[in-house]
Parts: sequence; C-alpha cells; structure tokens
Amino acid sequence: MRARVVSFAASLALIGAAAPLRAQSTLSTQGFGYPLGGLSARAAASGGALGEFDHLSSRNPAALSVWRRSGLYMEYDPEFRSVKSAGGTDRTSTSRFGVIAAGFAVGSKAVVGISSNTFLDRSWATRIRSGQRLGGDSVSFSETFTSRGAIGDSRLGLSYIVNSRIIVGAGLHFFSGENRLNLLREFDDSVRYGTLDRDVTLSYTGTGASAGVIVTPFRGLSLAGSLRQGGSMKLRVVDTLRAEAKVPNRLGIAARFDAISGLALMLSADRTAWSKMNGLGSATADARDAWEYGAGAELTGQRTRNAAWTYSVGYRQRDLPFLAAGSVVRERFISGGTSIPIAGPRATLDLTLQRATRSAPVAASERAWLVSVGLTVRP
Amino acid sequence: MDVSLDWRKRARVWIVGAALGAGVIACSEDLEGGAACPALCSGQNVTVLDTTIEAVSLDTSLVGIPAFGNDGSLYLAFRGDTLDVRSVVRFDSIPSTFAKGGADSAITRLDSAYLLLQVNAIGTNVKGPVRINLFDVDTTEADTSVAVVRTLFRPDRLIGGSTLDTNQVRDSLRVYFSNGPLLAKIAGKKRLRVGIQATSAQGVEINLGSIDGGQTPLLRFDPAPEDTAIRPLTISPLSQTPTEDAQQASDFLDYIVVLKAPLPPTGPVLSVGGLPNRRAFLRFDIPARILDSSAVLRATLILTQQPNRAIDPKDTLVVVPELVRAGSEVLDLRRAAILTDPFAFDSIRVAPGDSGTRLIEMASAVRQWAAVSSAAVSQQRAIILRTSRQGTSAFEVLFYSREAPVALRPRLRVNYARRTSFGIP
Repeated sequence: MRARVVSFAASLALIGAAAPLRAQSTLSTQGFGYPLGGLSARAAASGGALGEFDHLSSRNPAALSVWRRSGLYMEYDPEFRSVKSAGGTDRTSTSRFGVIAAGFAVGSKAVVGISSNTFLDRSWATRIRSGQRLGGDSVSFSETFTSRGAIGDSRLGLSYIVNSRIIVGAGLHFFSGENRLNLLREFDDSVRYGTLDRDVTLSYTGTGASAGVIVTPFRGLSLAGSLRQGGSMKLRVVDTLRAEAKVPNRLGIAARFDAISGLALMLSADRTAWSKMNGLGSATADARDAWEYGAGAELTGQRTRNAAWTYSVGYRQRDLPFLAAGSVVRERFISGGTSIPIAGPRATLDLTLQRATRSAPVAASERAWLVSVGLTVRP
Repeated sequence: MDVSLDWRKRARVWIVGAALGAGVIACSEDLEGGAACPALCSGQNVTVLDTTIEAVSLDTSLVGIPAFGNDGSLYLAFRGDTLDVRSVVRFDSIPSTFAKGGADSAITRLDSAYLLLQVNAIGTNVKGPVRINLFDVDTTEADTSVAVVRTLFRPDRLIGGSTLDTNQVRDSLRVYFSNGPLLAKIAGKKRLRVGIQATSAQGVEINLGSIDGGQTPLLRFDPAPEDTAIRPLTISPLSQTPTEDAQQASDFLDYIVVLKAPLPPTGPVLSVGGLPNRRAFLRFDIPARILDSSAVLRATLILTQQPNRAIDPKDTLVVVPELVRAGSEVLDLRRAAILTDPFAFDSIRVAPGDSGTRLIEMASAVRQWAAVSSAAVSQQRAIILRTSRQGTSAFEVLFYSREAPVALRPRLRVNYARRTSFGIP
C-alpha cells in the first residue's frame, strides 16, 4: 500500500479531547438498567410484600403451588417517568411486557411453572447538544444515544406441597437478553463533517438456581423465604465475550397475617447482592448490594361469578443497584390495585398503579407512574 | 332490581376499558431525555483519531472535458498576446425564399441581418468598447479540422461586425452582417459558418449562450426590406457535415476555437481549468483500518497551490470537487472523469495567483467509499476537481501533485472513530 502515515501523533492527543458520550439521563436506568423486581401486578400492588407468596412473581418457586391448576399469565407494564433537573424536565414513557408465566399442575401436590420476567430493563434515550474538536475546528453536534432491550430472567420451577403446613419449591434460572444501542452524532455542518451512526448489540447470558419455602405454622400466619444463587453472567459484543461476572444472589423473607377474614397484611424484606455484577461493565457501572422492604394489605371484596375481587395497597422502598453520579438511588413506591375476575375464576384481570419516587444526592430527581395490567387465564 | 349488581357490572366495564385504553396509549414509547445531562450522564469517550496520510495513489490532469462542442456556453476572449478565443456557429441551411401572398418568393434583397447571441453575466468581463467581428469560416476542405478553421479568421473573410459599448453587452446582443456577403450565400444556396471574434483595447471576455447550454444563437434577417408586412426570418444553427458521423456533425453546431492561450503547465502539478479545459483526477488508497473499520467524521484533502500568474492572478474562480462514480473496471481515466456526481462537497474559491494550502472537505466521499467497499460492484475511490466555468475561462489553478516534494504533495487528513464496542455500562 502506497499510503504512508505522515503524522499519527495528533491521534493520541485527540483521544483525551474527545467529547464524552452521554449515557442515560435518569436516576433509575443507570448501569445495566432498572430492576423490575420480579413482581407481578398483584404483588406490586401490595408493595411487593405478596411477592414471596405469589405464583406469578419470580421470587419464590414454592409459591407456584398457588396456581393449583394450569394457567397462563401475561403482564404489560408501561412506565411514565419524569426527571427534573436544572436543565429542565424530561417526560418519557417506556413500554414493557414484564411477566409471562404459565403453570401446570402435576397431580394434586406439584406444580411446574415456567416464567419470563424482565430482570434489568435498559431502555432509554438521550438527546444532547455538545461540541468537539475535529481537525482544526471546534464543531457543534446533536447526539442521540438510544438503548433498547433488557436482561430477562427465565425460570423453570417446581413446587411441591409437602403437607398442609409446608410447601417447598426450586427453580432454575436462565438469564438472557440484549441491549441494542445506537449512537447518532449529527454535526451542524453535515457536508463537511460526517455523521457518526453506530449500532452495537450487547448480549447477556447467565444462570442461577433458586429455592423457596412457604410455612404456615398456625392458622392466620404464613411465612415464606426464598433465595437465589447466581451463576456466571457473561457479556458479549457480537460473538466476542467481553466480560464475565456473577448473577446477583438474592434472599427474601415475608410474613402474611390473615387474622381478619377478608384482609391479609403482609411484610417482606429482600436482599439482592447486586455487587456480584461488578466487573461485567466498566467502573462507572458500580453496583451495590441493596435491601428492599415492603408492606401491604389485600382486601377481599365482592364476588362475581363465584370469584372474589381483591383490592391491594402497599408501600415499598429499596435502593437501586447502580449508583447515579456516585450516589445510591433510593426508590419509594406507593401502590394500589385490584384483581378483577372477568370470567369467574377462569380469567382475572390485575390492575396496578404505582407511584415511584427516586432520589439521590444529585442535582436531579425522578418520579414515575408505573401501570401494570396482568391477565390470568385458566382454561 | 339488583342495583348493586348493576353498579358492579358498570364498574367492571369501566375499569377494563380504562386499562385497555391506558395500554393502547402507553404502547407508543417516548424514551428521549437528556435534560439531566451531564449530571446523570456518565461519560464514555468516543475516541476520535486524527491522521494525516499520503492517500493519493494516482493523480493527473485530464484535457478535453467537456468534449469538443459540448461546452455549456460559447466563449470569446481577447487579451493582447496572451489570450485569443473565438467561437463558430454553423448555419448549413439558409432559406432562399420567403412566403409572400401564399406563394414562395425568392430572396433577392435583405436587410437587418444579424446574429442574435445571449450573454451570460457570469464570465463576461467588458471594460470598454468591444468590436465583434463575424467571419465566413466555411471551407470545403477538412471542415472538421479546427486548425484549418483557425486560419479562416482573416480580413478577406470578414462578413460583418458591430462595435458595442459596455452597457450593450448584457442579456443579449446583436452583431450585424454585411448584406452583400450574406445575400450571396443565400442566392448561391451556400452554407453559412460564422466565426465570431471579440476585440477590445482593454481586453474582453464574453460568455455567450450555446446550444448545449440551452441558449441557441440565432440568425435573423429581413428578406423583403421594402415590404413591412413580411416578418424577419429566424434561422437556427444546423450542421450537416461530416455526413457520415451525425454525432460529430452535432458537436460542430457551435464550438470554441482557441487561437492563443497560456501554455499548459509542466512539472509535478495538477491543473484545474484553463484553455483547453483541464480536470484534476485524484485516486485514493485509504487504509482499511479507516475505510472498513471506522466511522469517518471528517476527511480533508490538503492541496498546496502553486501560483499561476499568467492571467488575472488576483481574480477568483470556483473549484468544484466531484465524486467519480465509475467502477474500477473503467480504466480510461478520461471516461472515469466524466462519470461523476456532484456529491455533497464544499467548493472552494481561489485566486489562480495565490499560493499556499487549500482544503477540500471530502468526508462524504470517504464514507461513500466505505459504504460500497463491501459491495459486489467496486467503485473507484477517486474524485475530480473542476472549475465552475469549464472551457469558458482561461483561469487555471495549479496544485502540486504527488510527484512534488513531500511537503507539497496532496495529503488526506482524516478524523475517524473506530467501530469498537461502546455502550457497555
């Protein structure tokens, strides 16, 4: 090749001067994304406290026995978010299909369940104005950086009713998903400067195993606990393995009081070792282990075609796994919802509305409405 | 009547409807934000590399584009001993009769015979009175030889002319024929081939409309001066020879004849413009690390201009780069230099007499080459440089070629970002 490099020294000099590529501009979608928590619409309505007892949530495999008979569940979870900062207010909306689950009764004591939950949702887009030096000139550009996709948690679980007081369960988890990223940097002078339009897909795989138990020591009180042991989690770009870390371990406990007829009170605590994911990304995706606490109540209401309506309220708070500008993001939910039997016991519609407030000691705050619409069909 | 049951039914309908409505509304995502940047936008650098390379693998100046007779305009120029450019228009068929009272009448007299020429303001430079002469440049021998035609601009073939003031050389102009010679042509049923020459004590340049430029020169005369009811005849150009080659005959409809022009440059230079017109052709060999594995943000062709003070060194002309669309199988450079596309390039305005570095932005070309590098049809990685007044200006810009000393050679400065992964949190 005749082409000869005349000067390459300037190359390295410019690396440091390159404009930063802006990432997500929300508190909730830092790092590998926003954790939905593995809760169904009904569990979310009760502040997540129902999660350990809920067959539609992915937390406790022992809860699969609640299916009782075969059924299918689908859930749609749009989120309407607003982020306030000195630069103004961004209002965004995100669509998610958070849960798809099916349960199959095996005899009278066992249920096999398969489910797919959104584990970490990394859907966001930022549009900014900035500038950089190109050649000898300072040039302005508009940049849109978009990320779509999520890591999903697919579980194959089995629950078994040991006796009237003890239900046990176990599950195998397969984590997979991808982030489809696009960076579009358009310079104001599009004749002189070429547009930077780059796509990359990050793909993830991981494994885990979970076990759980539900105990009813005496009438009116149920206790549940579950844990998940994470296996390896891998990040690939195209087919190249770029990083490897662990799927976060998780431990959860919950108590349910059914002392008053038609009213259930629930408490839960959940610990996720998000720091196991450190190393999967760069140092800026700093994950911290986090607690989640939930409290909720579920009231049984009127009956339609032999099936009861239920109404739920709850409160939940947790720390989000990934730091925002070096600070932990705290998230609080106030939630409420109802489960409506739309075809007797054969079909139930779960409607949940959550108000989330996310805060951190940074110059921005975030609020969101999370709507969950779940449909259970039992043929 | 069970009122409570009715209420529940209605409530259920409303709730289900609201849920479905919310779902439909929420189906359209709007993810775009950015107000909280840079507070919440952790930085990930897009590494932009800046490299200057000698990427020109072939460069040359090509003469003869546009091809003979295909100029967008006719050009007349006169600068004493340095420049003399004339034009020729063929009227190979002139009617010898005119219609009068429903019958044809032979033309035995004529008056007010003139050549009507359109004037393009761009490229016209008249500083004083201009004399435009018309010559009979018809010949029976070697009529496709421009060299022969050059010799026919002589006093004994003068068949008309007009002296025009500066303000008369605008929009259109009329150059009158002498009645006698033109009547002789008509009576003898001979063809009229008019050579046009402009002279001026102050020097002159006139950019005239041509057939290829959509501004046809016309011959007009009054075939019956005594009868005011007879309208003048208007004749369009026609070229009938060579009879065996219609294309060549068409090229000779109207054309430019260069009698004097600055000599073509010698040495390691690329010539753009001049008379006859020249285009610079530059072919590039860009490393695969840039073309195949990177996104090119800026590509600047750095040329070093050599001063050319032959004619009006401080006047300016526009140099226009174009992308060569020819495939690599087109080996004839002149042919490749015609198959071009006015891509999204910047043009540059330069004075021929200046020297120094000239920058031509060509990121769009490099990105085009990158886009087709994996395609089955290979495109030449080349551009041409031309002037905005091809063949109608004596101005000529010179750039040092790749044969020049290292510091003066064409170079390509590229700012590019590697297609390595990004977006890992």
